[in-house]
Amino acid sequence: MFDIKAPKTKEALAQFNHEFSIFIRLEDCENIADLFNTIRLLQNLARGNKILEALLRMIQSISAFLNKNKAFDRKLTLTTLTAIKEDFDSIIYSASMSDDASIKAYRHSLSLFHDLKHRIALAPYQPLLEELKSAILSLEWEINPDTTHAFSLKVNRLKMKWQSNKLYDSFLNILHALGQYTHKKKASADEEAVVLIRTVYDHLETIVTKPGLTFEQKKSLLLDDIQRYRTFKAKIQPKKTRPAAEKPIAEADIPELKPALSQFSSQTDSASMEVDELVSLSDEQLVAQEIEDKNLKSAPIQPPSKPKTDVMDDLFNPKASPVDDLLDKIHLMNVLGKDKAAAPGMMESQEAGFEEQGMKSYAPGKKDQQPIEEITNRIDDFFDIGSSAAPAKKKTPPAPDRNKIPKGPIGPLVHAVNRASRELNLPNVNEISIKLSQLKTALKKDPNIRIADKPGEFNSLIDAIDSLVNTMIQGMK
Amino acid sequence: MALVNVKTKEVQVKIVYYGPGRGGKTTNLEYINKKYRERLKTQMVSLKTHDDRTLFFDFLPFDVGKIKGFQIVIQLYTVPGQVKYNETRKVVLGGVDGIVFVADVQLNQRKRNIESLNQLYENLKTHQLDLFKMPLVMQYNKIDLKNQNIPIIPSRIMQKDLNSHLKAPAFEASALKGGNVIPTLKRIVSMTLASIQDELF
Repeated sequence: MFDIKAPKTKEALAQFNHEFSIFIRLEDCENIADLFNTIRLLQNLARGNKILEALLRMIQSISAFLNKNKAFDRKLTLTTLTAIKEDFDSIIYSASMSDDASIKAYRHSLSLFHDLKHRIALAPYQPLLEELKSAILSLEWEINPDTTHAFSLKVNRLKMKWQSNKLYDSFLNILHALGQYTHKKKASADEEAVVLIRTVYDHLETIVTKPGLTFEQKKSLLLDDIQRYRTFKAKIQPKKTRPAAEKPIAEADIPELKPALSQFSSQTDSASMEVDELVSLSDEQLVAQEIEDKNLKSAPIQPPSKPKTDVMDDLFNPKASPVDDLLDKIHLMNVLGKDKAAAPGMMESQEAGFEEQGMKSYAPGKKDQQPIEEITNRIDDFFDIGSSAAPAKKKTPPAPDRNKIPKGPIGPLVHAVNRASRELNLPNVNEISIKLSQLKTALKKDPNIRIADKPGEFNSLIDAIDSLVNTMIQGMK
Repeated sequence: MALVNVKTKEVQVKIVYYGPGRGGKTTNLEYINKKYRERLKTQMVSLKTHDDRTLFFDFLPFDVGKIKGFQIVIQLYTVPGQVKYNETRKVVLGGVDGIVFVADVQLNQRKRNIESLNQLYENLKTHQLDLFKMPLVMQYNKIDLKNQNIPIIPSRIMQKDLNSHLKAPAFEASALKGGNVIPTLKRIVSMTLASIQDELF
């Protein structure tokens, strides 16, 4: 039984009050050992009174902390210590205090003690939380690579510190995911992302800094944030996938647009022209193309052999490449302006130079005519990756059609006849004669060429000559 | 205009791949260059911006061999597709003999295809050239995107949008995978050479 009227107790309490007041007033706490001795004495005297014993242990613990840790918030520690001492005094000096009042005072002290203990435990993480808060404020101000990077960095630091705390880690996981999203989307990120980041952070800060919260309250905050995150994720999800692509677009769903060149089409009679067919590309063709390309031997890249010249040669040699000419023109356009760069005099002088070098220019036109056999064969051979020295390609005989020039030995002759049909003049008729003699020579050289084997070509020739005769008759009329 | 050197018997033909930005013009040339690099014996010249966009043009020359004694040199060019480079496009189009219009079949590119084709007409006019009278091949590129659940424009609509007045030969294509890249090239080379064969051969 703790009897404050007993001389020994009275003396011990007086000693305690004196040393405690000195300890509170003096920053250097030199008499801490004396204070601890007195507290131990009082603890012996109060043995059996659990409230007083607990309060004395709290005072001793906080005093020891205060003595050792100068860096921590001293004002808060002293306030807490003083408040606990007041509760201790109120219990022992108030004779009329009921047991309930004593317990209430004890609970008040215990709450203050736990709060201080929690703050002391949180102290190493407090700057990191502050930094995270600051990073969120920057993110709210502007989303850019710097702010998103800083945010992710702060979240990751806290994740490393709190990886063993599942509750804190769960909040940080949500923040991490939102940080990744804003970093990826940058300025185009949904505005709600930053709002959600702020909300989750506030809840994290609450559960970290307020030790009074029960586990259920903390869990409730976390579950709310998980639900908010899921809702947000569902909201941004449709932007990632393409909803319209699930089913092919019906032509009827595509709005009418004015076709290209509608405003210019009246300048020509193109509407009367025959429409070329569209060459489609099936999935099977695409796969076959890929397989063919993979099977091709990947030839090592060999740079074209250049004659060895020294640097001065390169500098003073005139430019010959068309790329250089084109770059010069673009450069001139950028420097002088588009009008001066396209000065007519430049091109005229250039063309005059062309003629001296034996150059002639031909303007190609869109003529409704088939290429001659040599063009078709040459192009086919060049692009046939299997052929090495451009051998003549075996071709199936074309259908007898007077508009199509057959391939093979008769082709040039048919072409010449067709040309004469379109424009009957002496050079064209002479050409028929030349082609006919060439065909005869070819037949002599290669006895394997037999007209009978190529009825389609022969029929084409007959049709072409028939056409020429008709033209000549029309001309005579 | 096709340049013919009657002394050396060499014919130079200039073919330009034209179309909206990111449509696949450079990819066409890259595929041709990759597939025929052993045969072409030339190097592709490509001037790109830092984000891999064509800055001035791409250039791929190659010699297809002799036709009737004339050495045929084909020069393939692309234009920069970005809107801001129209003056460069005009310069590159100078002396063009044949055009491949590379359109993008993605639904969101529909208007850009039409705008680009209209602009091609205007740009050719500055060189006194008429698109309606030029060898031209239409290529509807990125057709393979339909397998990746990306909305694309049906080819019938593409024809209606771009080819209803020109009535040029058209190819569905996938430049990235090489689908119909070579048939497109063969067709334009063939058409261009055919357009000058009467004068030349």
